[in-house]
Amino acid sequence: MAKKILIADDEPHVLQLIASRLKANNYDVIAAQDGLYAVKKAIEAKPDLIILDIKMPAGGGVTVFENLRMSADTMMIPIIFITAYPNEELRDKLLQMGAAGFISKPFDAEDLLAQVRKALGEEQVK
Amino acid sequence: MSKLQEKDKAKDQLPEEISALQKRTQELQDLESRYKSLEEELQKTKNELETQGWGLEKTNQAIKVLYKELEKKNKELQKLDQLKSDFVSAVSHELRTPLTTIREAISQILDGILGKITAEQREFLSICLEDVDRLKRIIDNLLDIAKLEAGKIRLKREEADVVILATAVSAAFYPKAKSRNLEIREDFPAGKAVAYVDKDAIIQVFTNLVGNAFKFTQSGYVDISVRDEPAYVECSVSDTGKGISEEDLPKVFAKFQQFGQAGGPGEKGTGLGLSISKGLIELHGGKIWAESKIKAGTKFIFRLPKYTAKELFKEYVTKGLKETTAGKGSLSVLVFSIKGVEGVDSEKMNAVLQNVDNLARRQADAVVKDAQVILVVLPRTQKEEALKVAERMQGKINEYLSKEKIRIEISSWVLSYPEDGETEKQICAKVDQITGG
Amino acid sequence: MGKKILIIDDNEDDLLIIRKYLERAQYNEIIVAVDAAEGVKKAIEEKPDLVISDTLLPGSDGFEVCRQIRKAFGQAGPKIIIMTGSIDAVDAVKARKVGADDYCAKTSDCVPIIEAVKRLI
Repeated sequence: MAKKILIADDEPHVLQLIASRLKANNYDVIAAQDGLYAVKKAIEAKPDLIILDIKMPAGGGVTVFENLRMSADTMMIPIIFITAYPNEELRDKLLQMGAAGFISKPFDAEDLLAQVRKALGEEQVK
Repeated sequence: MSKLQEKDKAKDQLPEEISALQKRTQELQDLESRYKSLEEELQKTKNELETQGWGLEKTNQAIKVLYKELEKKNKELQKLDQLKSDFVSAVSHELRTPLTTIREAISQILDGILGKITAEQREFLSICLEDVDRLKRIIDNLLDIAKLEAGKIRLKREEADVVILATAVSAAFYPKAKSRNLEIREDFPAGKAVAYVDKDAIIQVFTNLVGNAFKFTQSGYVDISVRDEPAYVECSVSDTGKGISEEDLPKVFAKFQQFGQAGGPGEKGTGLGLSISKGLIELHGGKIWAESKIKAGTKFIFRLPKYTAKELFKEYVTKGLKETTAGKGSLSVLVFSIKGVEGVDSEKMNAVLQNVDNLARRQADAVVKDAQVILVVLPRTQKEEALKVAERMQGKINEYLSKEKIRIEISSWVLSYPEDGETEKQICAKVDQITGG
Repeated sequence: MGKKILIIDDNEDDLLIIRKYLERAQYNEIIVAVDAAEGVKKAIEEKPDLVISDTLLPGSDGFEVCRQIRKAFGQAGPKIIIMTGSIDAVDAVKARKVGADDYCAKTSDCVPIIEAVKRLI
């Protein structure tokens, strides 16, 4: 059965392209454009992986992350963060908090797929 | 003598006396006129002195005023410079995002994700992709230049074998060389050529130089060489290409200089590569220059100075202290000293050192590794904060040591400005005390 | 303030700047000249209270202008300021010798010139 991935990003183009790329790699995709909707969908659909943009209206990636960690249903879902302004401190902090991965925008398709596979515990297809 | 005789005598003496008196009067008159003219001269000299004095005072005042004006203009220039750098940074960031979206969208079409495409569509889309990549390179270069000029590039320096870096670049260009029927010659020493460098930066420089060599060479070879000298590592990239004219040679490192693209196919340049390379090499304290003659090939040479761990540490501390006196907070140094080394094989030692080094590099860029010591310079960090960092790191190190069952002891110390030393000398002395030289 | 000032400078931009700062300092009667001959002529005709002249003028210089004005008016002439963008101690002495009352630097805020004007008239 295809794995479900929830993506939350407030830029519709980015959302569409990541969704398209993931679908082409046989993942089911649920899209959200703000933090509130992301949390709602996560609880509803219980995806296998969540990709969160750090900056979003109605709750950025970190807020969503913290919210999800508080609910038994969602606390085990691996989360990958995306950001347009990567910095070492943030990265380390999030990785320490338990994030499964970190992608910077502009994103690289190869890197995205590799991190998704790693977070889902799938073998790398070489 | 009778009165008459006396009178006669006096009468005889009279003309003498008169002429003596006349002489005297004349002398007095001469003296008077000399005195008068000396007075006049003195007055003239006084006037002249006064005029000169006036002139000097006016000049002095004017110089002070002009100096203030210079300072003012200088400050304005600095502000403008900063604005320019900030502007370039912000714009570059803004430009990157839509660019990536465009690239990804084209990429997905080319990958067939949106369905089959015709050969012609593929061709056109490939052209799009190439130019998107070129735009991305230009933006990356502009950002690099802005960062270099703003002094914001932070080199992550470490001990690296330059031969390995050169080999990597050479290998990367191998397919291109083959397709263009050009030879890549390598001239590397048998052993290593180690220097304290930012690996990515040096690879960037090599890539830029070799890329240029390919651009301007139609036939023949591109030679990459590395030489290990006592005080520095000298690298060069030479080619048998069209060369650079005498009048263009001095301008070769300036921004946006492109001396007529060669007929060869391949990436179009941005005119910024050499400027960035020069900036990066000079940030390492090195030198880069070019030698060339029209139609006789070109050679780019750069030198990377070798620093001992001590010298590098001194440099980091000095720089950090400068920031401190510029009002940017405190400076702290973490010292990790390894004891009980006997009996542990060198491989394990290196692994431990590397582990601590990696940990340290997550906290700061200024990490210096020596035989049994790792020093971390934390600028803008107070003792309290530094102690916390040291504790965290110590915890992780002990975890690692017990996990790998390595029986060494690593202890940590924290030295801070101003409590443990107010000058680079004092701080280095304290470090020597702890580590035993 | 009722005082008439003559400015002699061949650079239009500089003339504009000095004029602006003089007017700001409430000196509103201002005449200009763009070369030495015109400068001396206007000085004689208009009889300003103060003449401000640049050192470098086409075909001549501020010192010559000063000399000629002093020759024309003797002691009763206008106050004369010689201004320059390139300060030189030798010029300063020269200025004094040709009878100028002050010698100052041209700056973008005209502060030295305005101060000299206030001192002299």
